[in-house]
Amino acid sequence: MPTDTTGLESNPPPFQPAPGMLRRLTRAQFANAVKDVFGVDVDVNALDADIGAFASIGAASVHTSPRGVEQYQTAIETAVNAVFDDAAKRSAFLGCTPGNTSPDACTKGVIETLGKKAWRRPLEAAEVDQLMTVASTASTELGSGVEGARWATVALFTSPSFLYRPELGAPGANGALRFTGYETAGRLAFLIWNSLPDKQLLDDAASGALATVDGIRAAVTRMLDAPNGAGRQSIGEFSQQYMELDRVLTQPKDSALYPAYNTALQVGMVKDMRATWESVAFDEPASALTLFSTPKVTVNAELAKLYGLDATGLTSTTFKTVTLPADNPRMGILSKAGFLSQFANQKEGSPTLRGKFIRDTLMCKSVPPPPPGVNFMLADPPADQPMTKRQRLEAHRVNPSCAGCHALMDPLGLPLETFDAIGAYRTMDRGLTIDPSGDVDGQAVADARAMGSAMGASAAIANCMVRRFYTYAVGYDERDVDGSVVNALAASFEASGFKLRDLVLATVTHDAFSAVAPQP
Amino acid sequence: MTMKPLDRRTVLRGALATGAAITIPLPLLNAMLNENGTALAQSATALSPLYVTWFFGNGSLPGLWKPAKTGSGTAWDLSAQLKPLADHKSYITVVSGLEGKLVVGGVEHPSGSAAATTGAPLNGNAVRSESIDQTVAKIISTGTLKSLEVGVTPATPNGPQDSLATVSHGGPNARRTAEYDPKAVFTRLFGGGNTTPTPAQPDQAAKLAKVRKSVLDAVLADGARLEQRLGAADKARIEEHLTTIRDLEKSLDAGTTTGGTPAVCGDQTAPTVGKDTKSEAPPEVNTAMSKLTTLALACEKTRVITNMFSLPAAHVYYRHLPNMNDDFHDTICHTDPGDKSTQTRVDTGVQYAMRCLAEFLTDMKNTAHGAGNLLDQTLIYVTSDTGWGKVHDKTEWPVLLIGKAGGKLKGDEHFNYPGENLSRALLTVAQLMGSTTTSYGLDGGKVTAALPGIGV
Repeated sequence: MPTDTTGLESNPPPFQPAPGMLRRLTRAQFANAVKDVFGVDVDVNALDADIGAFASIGAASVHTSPRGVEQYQTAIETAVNAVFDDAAKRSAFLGCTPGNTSPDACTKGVIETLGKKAWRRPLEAAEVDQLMTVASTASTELGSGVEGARWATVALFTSPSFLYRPELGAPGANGALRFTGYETAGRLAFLIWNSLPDKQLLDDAASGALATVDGIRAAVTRMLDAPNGAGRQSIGEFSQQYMELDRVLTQPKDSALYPAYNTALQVGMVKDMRATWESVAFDEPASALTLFSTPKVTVNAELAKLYGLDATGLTSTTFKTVTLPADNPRMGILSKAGFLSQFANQKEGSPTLRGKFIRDTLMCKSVPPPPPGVNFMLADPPADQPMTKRQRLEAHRVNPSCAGCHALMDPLGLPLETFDAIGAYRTMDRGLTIDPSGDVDGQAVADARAMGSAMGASAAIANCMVRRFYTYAVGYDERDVDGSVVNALAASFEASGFKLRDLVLATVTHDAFSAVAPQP
Repeated sequence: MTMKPLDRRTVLRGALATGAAITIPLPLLNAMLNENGTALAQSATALSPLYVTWFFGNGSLPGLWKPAKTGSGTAWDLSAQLKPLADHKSYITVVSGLEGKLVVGGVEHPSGSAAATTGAPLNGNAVRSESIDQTVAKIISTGTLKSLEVGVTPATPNGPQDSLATVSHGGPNARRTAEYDPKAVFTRLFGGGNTTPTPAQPDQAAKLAKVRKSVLDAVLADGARLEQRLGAADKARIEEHLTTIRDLEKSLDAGTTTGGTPAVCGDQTAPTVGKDTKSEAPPEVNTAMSKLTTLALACEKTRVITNMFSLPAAHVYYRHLPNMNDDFHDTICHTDPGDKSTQTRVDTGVQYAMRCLAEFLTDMKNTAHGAGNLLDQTLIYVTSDTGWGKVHDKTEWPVLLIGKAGGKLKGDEHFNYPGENLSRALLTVAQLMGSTTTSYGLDGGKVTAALPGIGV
C-alpha cells in the first residue's frame, strides 16, 4: 500500500464496508468466557490453536479441527462439572432448584438467561425448545432435574452459537447494512473485555442504544472503566497479540547458559509487557510513544533478578511496578525481556530478527524476503580470533545480495546487542566489548536507550500503531479502502496526545466500525 | 496344548521403554483369520489399509542420502544416511531424484513443506489443499478418529505459515496440529474424550449415551440454523465442525462413550514421559510416540497417522548427542562448513532421525497383524521440507515409501527419477492407498501420472 513518510496513505479511496464475518472465539476469549460464567480456569494450550499474526483476524478464517471439537467439549464439560458437582456452587449458579418433572420453569429460565449471555442474543423459541428437549432427556434418563440443567448447559456452551460469532448485519434506518444491536454488543464485549457481554450491554442492545454513536460511546466508556478492570483487556490483549507475547511462553533456552530461565520468569516477562501497555493506557495515562521510553517495569521475583533489581518481598506470583534508575541501560518496551527473549535462539539474541520485528510490525515497513538460493553462512571466526555478533553480521553489509535488506533490519537490532538471549544486560560478547550503536530511520543512535528515545519521537510509529489497532479491532487485514478511516483515527490519536484509551473510543465510534457488507 | 478360542480383547502385557507398564494388544492372530490369512474369521472382513506420514524437518545431505545404485533386492545397497534402517531394508522403497518445484525463494521451508505434503503452492500463509494424509483418510478412514497427528519435538521457527506449524492440513486454515505430549496422546486414544466417567453399570452407560446424543442433536440443530445465514466459505467451516459432531454421534450409536472404536485393546497404562519442552527431540519421547502410534494402528483406533518427528525448519537442539548443542536449522544446517556430503553435524542429525524412524519400524514389525505384521499392512510416507538444508536445494528431495501397503508395494527397491515433480510421489501414495484420482496438486505442483514402476 503506498504510504508517505508518516506511514499513512496520502490519497486513499473512499471507505467501503467489509463483508460480515464468522469469527471463532480466540483461545483467550474462550478461556475468559468460561472463567466469567463458571469461575473455572481453562488451559488455553488444550484448545485448538489460533492462527494469524493477530488471532483476532485469523479467527475469521480458522477451521476447527476434529481434535479441537473434542477439546472444546472436554473444556466445557470440565467447567460445567466443576459447578454442578458442588452443591453450593450449583445453587448459586442456577439461582433456583430444577424440579424432576419436565418441562420445568427453573430450567427454562436458566436456559433463557444463560443462553442470552452465552450466545450474545436472546434465544428463539425453537432454540429454547431444543435445549429443553436436552434437559428433559437428561432428567428422565438420569433421574434428576439437576442433570437436565447440567446437560442443557453443556449443550449451550458446546453449540456453534457460543463458539462462533456470526456478525452479518441487518439493514439500518437508511437501508445500508449495519451490525445489529446484539452483534455490536458482542463485538464490543470481545474487543473491550475480550469476553462475553454483561447484562447491561445486552440490555443496551435490546433498547437500541447501540444503534447510535453516542450510545456506543456511553457503553464503551462504562466498559473501559469497569470496576473489575476488565476494560484494560482492550489494550492488554492488543499488546499480547501485537507484541506476540504467546511466543514468550513457548521459547526454550539453553539451560546451561541460562539456568535462571524458567516458567515463572517467562510468565513474568509477559506480565511486564502487558502491564506496561495497560499502565500507559489506563493508569498514567500517557502518550503511547512513551512505551518506547518508559523507565517502568513490572516484575515478579524472577524478573526482578534478571533486571538487576531488589527482589526482596517478591515471589513468582507477586508483582510490583518499579521505576528503573536513570543510569540503567534499559528503557522502554524494546529492552524488556518479553521482547528480547522472543527474537533470539536458545543461546544468543538475533539482531536481525529483533530489527525485522521493529521494522515490520512496529514501523509498518516491509522487509523483502531473502533472495533464493542464498548461502546463509556467516564466517565462523577461528577460535583464537573471536568476533562479536556485530562483526559476524558485517558479512551482510559486504555482500550486496544481503546488504539491501539487512540494512533495513540489522541497524535496528544492533543497539539491543547489550541484551542476551533471555534479555539480561551484558557488555561483552565473546570476550569483546559490545558496540551497541545503530540507526533508527536514518538517525544514528548510540545504544538501546537512545533508540528508545528516537522511537518515542516518531509520529510514523504512532501511525503504525493506529493501523495495527484498527485491523485488530475490526478483525480483517487492512485494505486500500480502509485508508481514510485509518487517517481519521491517526489524526484523532495525535490530537489526543497519542492516548490509547482515546484510540479505542475513536475506533469503536467511527462509522466504519458499525458498517458491514453482505457475505459473498 | 489346548488352544482356547481367542477374541480381540485378548491382551498381552508389555512395557513402554520409559518404564511405564502398558498393555499391548494381542495383534490379529492366525486363529482369527480365514484360510487365506487375509480376513478376520469372525467377521470375514478384509484387513484395513493403514497409512502413516513420518516427517522430519531440514532435509538430508543428498550426497549421503541417495543410494549409489538403483534396482531391487541385492542390486542396491542402503546409503550412509539410511544405514540406521538396515533391519528393515526389505520394507523400504527409496524414491530419489524428485524435485520440489513449488519451492519459493525466501520462504523455502514453508513452501517446501506444502510441496511435499499438499502438492500445492501457498496462498499467503495458508496452504491451498489438504495434505496427503487427509486425502488418504478420506479413502480409508471409517471410525470416529479419522486421523491422528502427533509429534516428537515442537521446535519451530514460529513463522506464520500453516505449513510451518504442521504438515497435516484439512485444507486452507485447517491445521491438524500435532499433540507432542505422549500422555495426552494416550489419554485421547485410551482415556476417552469425555470428562464424565463412564458409569460402571451398562444400563447407566446407555442412558448417558442417550443424553449425550440429545446434546449433540441440539448442537447439530444450532449449527444447521447458523449455516443458513452464512456465505459459502463460512458455511463450509461450520459444516466441517458439524461433521466432527456427527462422527461423535455415530460413536455413541456404536455403543461407546469414549469417542473411539470399541475397546479392543484392554486396559492400558499411560506413558510417563512428557512433552519435549527444550526443543531437543529426546529419544524417550520418540520411543513413547513410536509405541503409541503403533498401538493406535494395532487397536484400530485410527487408520491414518502423521508423526512429525520434527517440524519444517525445526530449531531443534540435539544436545543429547555429542557436539550437537546448536540450533540444527540456524547453525548446523545453514552455517556449518561443508558440502552436501560433508556437513558432518547435519549427517549426525539426519542419522539420529533415521534411528528414531527405525525404532518405529521395529515396533510396527514386531506387532503381528493378520498373517504378517503391521509393516506388511501399512504404507509409511517419509519426507522433509527441503532437499539439502544449507542452501535449500530443491533437488534430491528425501522420499521413502516404507511398508508393503497390504501387498501393494514390493519393498527393497530404489527408484531414481531425476528432476521429476515431487507431487508424483503424492499421487503414487494416493493411488497405492486406493484412490482412483489421476491427478494431484495445483499449479506447478499439479501432476497427472504416478511414478512408473512403483507398486505391485
